[in-house]
Amino acid sequence: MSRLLSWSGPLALGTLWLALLQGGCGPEGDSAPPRETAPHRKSYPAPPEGEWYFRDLLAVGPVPLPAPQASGALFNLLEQWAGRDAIDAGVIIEQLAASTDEAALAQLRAGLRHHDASVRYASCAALGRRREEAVAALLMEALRDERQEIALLALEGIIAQDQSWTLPRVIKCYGMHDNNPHLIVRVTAAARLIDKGIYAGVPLLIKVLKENTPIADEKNREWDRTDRIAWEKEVAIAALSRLATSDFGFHQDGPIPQQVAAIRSIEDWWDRERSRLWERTPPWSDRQLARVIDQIIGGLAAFQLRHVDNARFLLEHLGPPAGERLVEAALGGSFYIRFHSLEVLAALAPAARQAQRSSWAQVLVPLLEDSEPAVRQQAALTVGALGGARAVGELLGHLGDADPGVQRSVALALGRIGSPGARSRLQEQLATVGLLAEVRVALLGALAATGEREAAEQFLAGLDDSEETVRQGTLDTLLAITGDDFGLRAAVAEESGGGPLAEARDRALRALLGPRAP
Amino acid sequence: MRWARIATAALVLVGLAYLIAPGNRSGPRTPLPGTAASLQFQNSESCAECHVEVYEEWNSSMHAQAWHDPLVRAPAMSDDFKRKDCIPCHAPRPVFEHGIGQGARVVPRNVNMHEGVDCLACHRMRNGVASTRSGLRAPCRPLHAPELGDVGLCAPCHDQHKTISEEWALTEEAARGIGCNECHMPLVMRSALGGLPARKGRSHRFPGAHDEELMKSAVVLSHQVAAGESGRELVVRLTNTGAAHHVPTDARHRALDLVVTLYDPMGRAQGPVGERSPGQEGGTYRWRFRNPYRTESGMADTRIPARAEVLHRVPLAASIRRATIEVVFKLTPYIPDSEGLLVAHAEVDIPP
Repeated sequence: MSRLLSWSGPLALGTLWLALLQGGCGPEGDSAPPRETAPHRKSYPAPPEGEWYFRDLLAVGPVPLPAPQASGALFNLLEQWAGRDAIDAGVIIEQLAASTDEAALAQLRAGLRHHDASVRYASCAALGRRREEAVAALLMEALRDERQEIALLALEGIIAQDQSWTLPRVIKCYGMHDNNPHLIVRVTAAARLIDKGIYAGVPLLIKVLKENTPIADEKNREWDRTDRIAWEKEVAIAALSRLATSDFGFHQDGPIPQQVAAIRSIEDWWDRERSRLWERTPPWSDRQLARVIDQIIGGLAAFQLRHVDNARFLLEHLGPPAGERLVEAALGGSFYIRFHSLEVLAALAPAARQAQRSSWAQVLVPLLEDSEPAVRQQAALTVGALGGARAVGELLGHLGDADPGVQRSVALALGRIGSPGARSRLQEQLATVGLLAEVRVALLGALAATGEREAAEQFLAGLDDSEETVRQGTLDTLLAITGDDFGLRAAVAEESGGGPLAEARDRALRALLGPRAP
Repeated sequence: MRWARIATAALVLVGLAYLIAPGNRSGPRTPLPGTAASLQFQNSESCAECHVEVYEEWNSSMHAQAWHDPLVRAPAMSDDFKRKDCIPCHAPRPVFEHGIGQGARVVPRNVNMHEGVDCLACHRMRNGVASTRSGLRAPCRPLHAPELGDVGLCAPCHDQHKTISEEWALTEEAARGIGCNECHMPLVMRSALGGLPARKGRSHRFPGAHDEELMKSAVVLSHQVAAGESGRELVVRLTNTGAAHHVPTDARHRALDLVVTLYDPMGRAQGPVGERSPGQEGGTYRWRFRNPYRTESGMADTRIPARAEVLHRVPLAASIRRATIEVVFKLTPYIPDSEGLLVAHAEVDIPP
């Protein structure tokens, strides 16, 4: 015994030292480095400092481009065309396209920047007929031309080049920010990408079909309202018909009720089929595309939030094929890349197939223990969105996270899943003292979504609470769990009361108690 | 045998130590005693219990309005925060969570969003609450964080629209180490609290673009009637004397308009010279100082840098007897002058 005591002292000190090394005793010091979830970090191309736009990144491909050369035989030919009607440019375009002069690309590039639209048109058309890697990069410069016929010509030329690395740039054409100003270019981009197995533009096509009908989408309008949309509708329905092998009975000159019914059918078809469609996308093996995607992932760490939003949009719209690289980034990137990759993965969940979702969710579970509360906050939503009912056990284990933001995310994720198996743990957590009001509301929403009528009624009673935080939290939670506010936000804001409010509540109640996503 | 026992015991103890370490525990996290998480300071209201005056100042500030401000929620702006890139700055997680400095920015939080830029956004650290003073003892566990006075603390949000900190870095104030707080968190007297005497502290009202007094102190207007090359002219000077950055700055929808109106002997205002766009209707002559939106191609950044002066010469016809000069600050560029803030004004009698 005395021998044991003689070495127990140093060992205890050693143990204490080890425990301290692990950060196990007492609060972490300010200088203590955060624990890393991932064993190693992957580095992504850092976005340059200062003004940095994704259109600049995407305008230039991996191909070295010749400097514009505003002189030479071809350029002189172009200049002769200045001021003439673009439609008559056929002859000159043939000559320009046929030229094998080494300086031809440089001169055509200068032509793309010419002040005269007919010269730009001729240059663009000539480039579109050539088949070389640099052409796609050159044409991308013309995508934002102020004349829609030139931008459209550039788009068709890029697509004809069949360069996989240009996909993000074409996707960007229908994007939210710094996007193409011409609606026909955006619709055409979405339509052409469908033929290449990129289906994220389908909602835009559906939105176009709704224009000038009673179900026109006024929310978050992506273009100025216009009556002149026949061309766009024609392109949209043609692309959707090719994809679905049905035109759903849509005719833009048909009676309005018939148009509305057809659009509703298209929406139902899209909800039903999108996962299966994405599944048909061929896997990516192009190294240049992979490099561009890594550049976009690097953009998630940009300082300017609008660039982050751009990167997020592009990655979301590349669809589930981007998933594997995003999972890698979520596990091994810097803080910002991990956080935003998780956001994108959650957005990809509806389009991914079940096997992909399960596998990604499983790999991402350790992020629920990440040292950064912000990462845990997003990881809960992502693991829930991807894992569905299978993630319930993991999520329940984190309801009591030290960070209230994480607590709320976990509750919302559980609410979206709506698993009856979560009831007792949710009730237990609701009994915890000192919960933030919004966390309590989210927990109640999650409990309601398990099918508990009493909890659902109690949750919706939050709309009448004297505390604004609770009223607002109830609306936010309802939207987060069901994806809809059932008109309650407007009804509450207008204090309409009576019928409309009661009807909206009833719809919300039914949605909460109804079946949830698998 | 003895070494075998020692080795076994050591292994057991090492194993125990490993299990003690929280990084290796699975299941729900339990706040460690004494950490900020265990203190339940989860929103600004919990700060109000002790810091009544500071809370009241913050509560009247635009930081507290960041989530509700109708201008921010307008369709052309965040569109009720459907534009998600607006959320991180209007409801940020604590800046200190990821450190401050080059390239550091904020990410969105998902609780207490109604509090906008809350107390925790600037003060919460991993294990306590950031304070400019050291040696403090309080339930919120104040930790000395000199970075609280740094431009780098404000930059993650205020450099998002344009780089104010870069504008500031070129000024005399930057060279003298005078940061944002000097103007935007002026010193105020704090009442005695908890046995401590009254003292000076920094205001948490954060005067800025919504503060009349501060905006009026940013520029100086001067004028004189002089003989020009082609006759008499009214020389108007506008100088950025008060701001250690461009005027206007930050959000690109801020605009400063210089409006000169000329009157004939009958008191009739002379018609506008040049084409006018929405929000720039009145006056005979007018100039706008603004950084255009990134979608407004072909427009120059006309803002006035720190200490810079802009000078305009207005030709005076022989019939002109009077002129008014107005400098109007607008939170958004397309509103009429009447909805802007008159930051400087002059009446000029023109002798025959």
